[in-house]
Amino acid sequence: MSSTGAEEIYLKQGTKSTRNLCATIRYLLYEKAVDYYFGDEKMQDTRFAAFDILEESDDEDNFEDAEEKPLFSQTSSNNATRNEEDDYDDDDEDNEKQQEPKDSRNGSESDVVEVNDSTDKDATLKVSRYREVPEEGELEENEQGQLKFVVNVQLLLARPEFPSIADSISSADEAIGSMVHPILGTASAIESNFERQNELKLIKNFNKVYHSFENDLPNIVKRRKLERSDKALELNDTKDHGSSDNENGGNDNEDSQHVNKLMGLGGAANLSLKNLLARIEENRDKLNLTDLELKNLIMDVRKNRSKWASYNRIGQEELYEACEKVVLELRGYTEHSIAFLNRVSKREAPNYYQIIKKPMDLNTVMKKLKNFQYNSKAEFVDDLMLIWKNCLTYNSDPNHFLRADAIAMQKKTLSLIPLIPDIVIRDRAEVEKEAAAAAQQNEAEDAQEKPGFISSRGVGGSSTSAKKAKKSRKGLQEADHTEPPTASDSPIGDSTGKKDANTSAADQTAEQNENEFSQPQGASNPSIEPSNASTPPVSAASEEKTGDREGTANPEEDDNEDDATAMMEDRQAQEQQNDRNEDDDNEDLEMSTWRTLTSNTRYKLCQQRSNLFKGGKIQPNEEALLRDPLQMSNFSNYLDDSSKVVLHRNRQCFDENDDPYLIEYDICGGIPSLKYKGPDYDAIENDIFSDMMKQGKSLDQLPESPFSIKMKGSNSVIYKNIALMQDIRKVCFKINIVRQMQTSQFIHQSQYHAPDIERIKPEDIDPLSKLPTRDQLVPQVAYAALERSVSTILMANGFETTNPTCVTTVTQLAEQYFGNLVKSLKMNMESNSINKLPLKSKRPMSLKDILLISLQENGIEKPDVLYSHYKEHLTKQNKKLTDLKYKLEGFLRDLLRPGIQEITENQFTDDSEQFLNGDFSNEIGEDFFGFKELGLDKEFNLLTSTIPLHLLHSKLSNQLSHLDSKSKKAKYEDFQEVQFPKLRKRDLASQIGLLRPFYEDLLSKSRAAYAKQLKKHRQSLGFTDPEGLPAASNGTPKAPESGSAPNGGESSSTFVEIEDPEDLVILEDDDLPLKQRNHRPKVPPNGRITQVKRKLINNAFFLEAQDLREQQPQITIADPQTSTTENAETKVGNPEIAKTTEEIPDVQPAA
Amino acid sequence: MDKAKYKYRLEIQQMMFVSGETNDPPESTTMVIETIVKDQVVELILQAQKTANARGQKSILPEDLIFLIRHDKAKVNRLRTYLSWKDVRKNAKDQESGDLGAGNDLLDNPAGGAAGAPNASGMDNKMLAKQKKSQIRLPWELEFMFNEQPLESNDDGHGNQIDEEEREAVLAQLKRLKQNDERTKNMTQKEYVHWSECRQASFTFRKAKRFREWCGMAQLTESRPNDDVIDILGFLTFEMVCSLTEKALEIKKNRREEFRQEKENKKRRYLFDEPSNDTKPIMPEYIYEAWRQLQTGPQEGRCLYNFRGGRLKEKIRLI
Repeated sequence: MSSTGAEEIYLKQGTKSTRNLCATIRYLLYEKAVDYYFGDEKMQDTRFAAFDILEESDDEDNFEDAEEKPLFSQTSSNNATRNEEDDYDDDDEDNEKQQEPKDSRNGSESDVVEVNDSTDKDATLKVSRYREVPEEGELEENEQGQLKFVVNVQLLLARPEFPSIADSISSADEAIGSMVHPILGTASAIESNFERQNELKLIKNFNKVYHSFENDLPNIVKRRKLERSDKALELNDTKDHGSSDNENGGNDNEDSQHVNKLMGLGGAANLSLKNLLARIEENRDKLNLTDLELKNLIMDVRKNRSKWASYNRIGQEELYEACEKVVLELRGYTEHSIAFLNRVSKREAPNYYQIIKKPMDLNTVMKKLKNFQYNSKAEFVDDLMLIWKNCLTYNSDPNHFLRADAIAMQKKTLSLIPLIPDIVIRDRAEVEKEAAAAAQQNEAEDAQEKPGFISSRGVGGSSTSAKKAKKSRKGLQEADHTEPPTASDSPIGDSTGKKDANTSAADQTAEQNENEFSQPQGASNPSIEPSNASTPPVSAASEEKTGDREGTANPEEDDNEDDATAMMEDRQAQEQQNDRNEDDDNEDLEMSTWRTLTSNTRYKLCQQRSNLFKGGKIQPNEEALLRDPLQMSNFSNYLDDSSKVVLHRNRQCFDENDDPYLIEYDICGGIPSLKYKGPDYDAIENDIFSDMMKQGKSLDQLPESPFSIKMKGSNSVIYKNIALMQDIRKVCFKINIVRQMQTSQFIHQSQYHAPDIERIKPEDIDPLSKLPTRDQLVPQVAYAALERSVSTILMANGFETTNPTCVTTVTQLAEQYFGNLVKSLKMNMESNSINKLPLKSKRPMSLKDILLISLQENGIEKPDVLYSHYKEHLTKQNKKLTDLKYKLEGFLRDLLRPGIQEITENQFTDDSEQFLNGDFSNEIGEDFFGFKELGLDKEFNLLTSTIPLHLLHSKLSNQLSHLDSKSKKAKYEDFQEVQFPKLRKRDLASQIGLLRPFYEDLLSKSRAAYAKQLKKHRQSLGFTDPEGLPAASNGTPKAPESGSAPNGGESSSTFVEIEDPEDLVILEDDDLPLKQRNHRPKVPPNGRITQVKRKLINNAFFLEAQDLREQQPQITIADPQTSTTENAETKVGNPEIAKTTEEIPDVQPAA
Repeated sequence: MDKAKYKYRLEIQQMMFVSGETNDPPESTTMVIETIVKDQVVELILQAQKTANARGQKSILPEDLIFLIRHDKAKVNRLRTYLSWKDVRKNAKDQESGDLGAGNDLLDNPAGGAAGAPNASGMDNKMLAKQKKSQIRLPWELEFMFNEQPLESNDDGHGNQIDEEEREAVLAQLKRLKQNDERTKNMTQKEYVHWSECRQASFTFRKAKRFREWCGMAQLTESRPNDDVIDILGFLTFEMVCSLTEKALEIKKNRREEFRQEKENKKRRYLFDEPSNDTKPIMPEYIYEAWRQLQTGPQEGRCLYNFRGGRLKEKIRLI
């Protein structure tokens, strides 16, 4: 629905995952489509039928469905296909929020059923909302009426189902390990040193116990039963927890609060920690701990408190912990405990409840424990003893096999009871009251009383519990001693009344079956049943015989025992009889202890092994039993010395409590590890590096690794091509910028920045593989090298950058292709085809032929293709690129310097500096055009402050381009310093005719000016000119006497009288008085001459039209012979005449 | 067979004649050829439509069609020439009808006398053709890799490029010319006229509507393709028929050599012997064989499936 969800789908790169995704989606789509259309059709059919039977709820559903669905199916059927495909990747995260297991197809329909009665729209909307949580994907209609395909992300991302290691360490296994642990259990029970030694002696002898595997089967059966009953118990627990959780939670909260309070109060609150805290408080100064640290420490201590801990019920923790342990111990005593695990059902023993008024069993005891129903040790012990008593009373026949069990259990119980501290649980308030009273009365008493409370917290706690344990152990031993006679009774009974035994055995099986039946009954929630069935995946199928037997026995029990079942039960009973016999036979202490201690371990080992052969087949999904050389240590320890218990080490799939090592079961560890460890590459490498450091060498100085690119062959061409492409891109960018500058007024600064193009350097992909220690065929490195080559090729084909996903995909394709090539090569090499044999004058296939064939199989018809690819593709591409680059550069040059067509040597001959540096830009400032930024300055060797002139007037220069070379020759500045001789009147004659009228005009002007100046001069000297205006009369002014004027210092310096009238200086235009100056056209600063003013010049002459006509025949006459025949000549002639007429006005003024 | 479906018997016969089949092929042969050509055209249009859609457009452009045959450089070049000439013809027509009377710049040549006029216009047309040819630029060419293209300059560099690019095409063309030359060598004037008439046979020329209907263009494309596309298709269909015929002739010739033995055994010919193999027209089975041979060859896409199994999808190869 929303792609904005926090979780983004991460797909692995590469073809495999993509293909997988595609396949999944296609499959889902297909399935949905089938559902959708088929369902649709069905509904449409029922729509018409539904009118008749609206009352029936089912059809009503369909009717409403039909009303809804066809609507959008019609509107959106066109969109359907496309949308489905488009939307597949934004899988909704809604799915993850509600992951209730739900069948999508059924779910949708059933939802509609719910809403059916309510007709308002809101409800239906809700339903559609609710339907957004399909399990495997759903077609949906969204607001726009489009179809949407919603897929659960998990489905797409789910890995194909391979067994993972974590899965196979099943929860059941762990459950067993943690719940009933024989070693731990007994070890905790056997506390005293003396007893421990005794025990150790026994264990030492374990290594000498001869054991055969026959015992394992009954063991497994028993264990499994225990397991199952555990599960039932657990289920009950979870059920109970609903009620008791609150209580516990409350307690916990209180506890934790209390810790805080306790810290705040200085630690005098909790009784169990009271002394400790008091001590800590006393020595607080000596501790270097901060309050926080101390608190953490205490929290740690408190964390170890068990689930039984309760603040308000003093002593509960200690009592319950011990009780639980005892119950677990009894339950774990599978030799005898099986019959007492669960309640006796009526079906097993119809008259049981008539005889036994207070039934009791171990699970009930456990339940009661968990519900905190015991207040003292006595109650608990009573319940336990009740179980055995019940059994003994019901099975009054002294030969009954259960009696032996009961007695054994009783013995065991009696041995364990002393371990339980004798505590009566009391309410806190009561205790505190008492304590207060006691404190008032007698402090000494108080001191005596309290250790009792604190006594045996924890597992292997204080000295008092140890003492008690010692006592208990003694009790146990006594019990053991007394055991043999009672046990020896049963074999006799067995041997004598075998029939009797058989029937009783049948009874027992019935009882067991009953137990199984009682499980679901006890579990009131029916939903537990399937989960129960699914939870023990490990045990389910491995039950093999027993499981089968039970499975068949169960249903047929209802049919009042057919013959077949009777047979089965007989067999089963016999087996059990055998078990019993064995048990009885090996009654010696060692054996039984061994059996008890190792039963769990054996069970686990056998279980693991049997899982592999479940159902008579090898199960590929099970975890393999791998040989582990590290486990050899177990083996060698075992061989070494029998004095200590060898524990399993490095067994990652078992819980942290080590199991005893059983050599018979060890199928993984019997291989000694190799003496030679193989070369230590790390060390060698370190040596190499240190050597290199000493010599001052670095890694770069080593010869190149095989993964570096050799610059030869097609490599060099490819890299060249890439470089060319990059150059071309740069040029393109510049062209683009120039174009933008032409068209738009303003360009943002950022646009100037050329894209950063890095030259590709063929770098060594893994410099470390230069080292001799490195394997050169590491897949990762090789893959990386291939990836680099692929991306280089992609680049050479014109991709500036490539998406990594794309590169990965292409690389994988390449990998696959090369793989295929090598595979077919190998296949052809190794095949024993006849073609390889030298038969019938046929040449046998040579290596070359094989190679050719392999190439052909992989799409390369001839090796020529490769060559032509190199020739055609690479080299030609190189040529084309070079060409293109040249062209584009020319284009750019044209854009930048439109005036200059070509740079020729002629342009350098005249030494105009401006041409070289184009120094026009002094006024404008540096880098006005931003060429520097563009990098054009380097490109074209421009100085920073210069601007190419033609940029200033690009259009003009296009028109003037042909004049350019001439106009460039003479520059104004070049002639600035040159002193031209002043033009005098006498020089006039030597001037060219064309200019003469102009000069004459000037002359008259300057004469007038001179006369004026002379007059002024004279006046300033004090006398007047007698001749009047000399210039007007004859043009020969008298030369004034220079130097005679005292006042005329200023003017005399500038003004010089001319003696010879021919010497009169013709004034230049600039020296003339303002009025008389010629008007000069001004070029605006942009250098553009907008329009040329066409004025008639006053003193210009034009030839009359007549003259023209007169002249024309003259010319034709001049060449009469040629012009007579061909018209074409006259055509050519015409322009010539036009030319002459143009020249005439120039000449004419001279005349 | 529904004979009404087959509409190009005459054209196909003419084309076959042009490409060397001197005997009148029977109707069954032309029908087979027509079916094959139709298949090819449909395939062409479909693929072109696909590329057009990939470009994001609905209508097929000439480039899409050229793209499909881009690996056959000779053909592409011929097609280019063909298109440029087509343009020239169009332009010339426009000019003729447009401004013939007015002072035509092109004709306003001093050298252009009455006799030199066709020559000069031919020259012009050639120049025009050159220009046009360079204007058909294919978007997968190298220069379109970059976002700026140089202005087209008609000066020196161009000639070289043409030589480089067209060498293949020129070679093919020369071969063709030589073939045609040989075919027409012994023809009488009348025959030659007939032959040159046959050369103008086309599926599309002045029959665009019929062609559209024949190949079901309306059903295949999303929008009606322009005349250029139809012309190109016409050109390509001509090529198809030619290549089929040539291949069939080759096969026939080989077959004849196989039968030569028999012939030698049977030295004397009698009056009522069946006619010699040479005089037999191409029969449908030759066409089938030619088709088969034209379809074989390596398929590059196939090799990735080599060790993977799975179904192979075979595409029709365009001939």
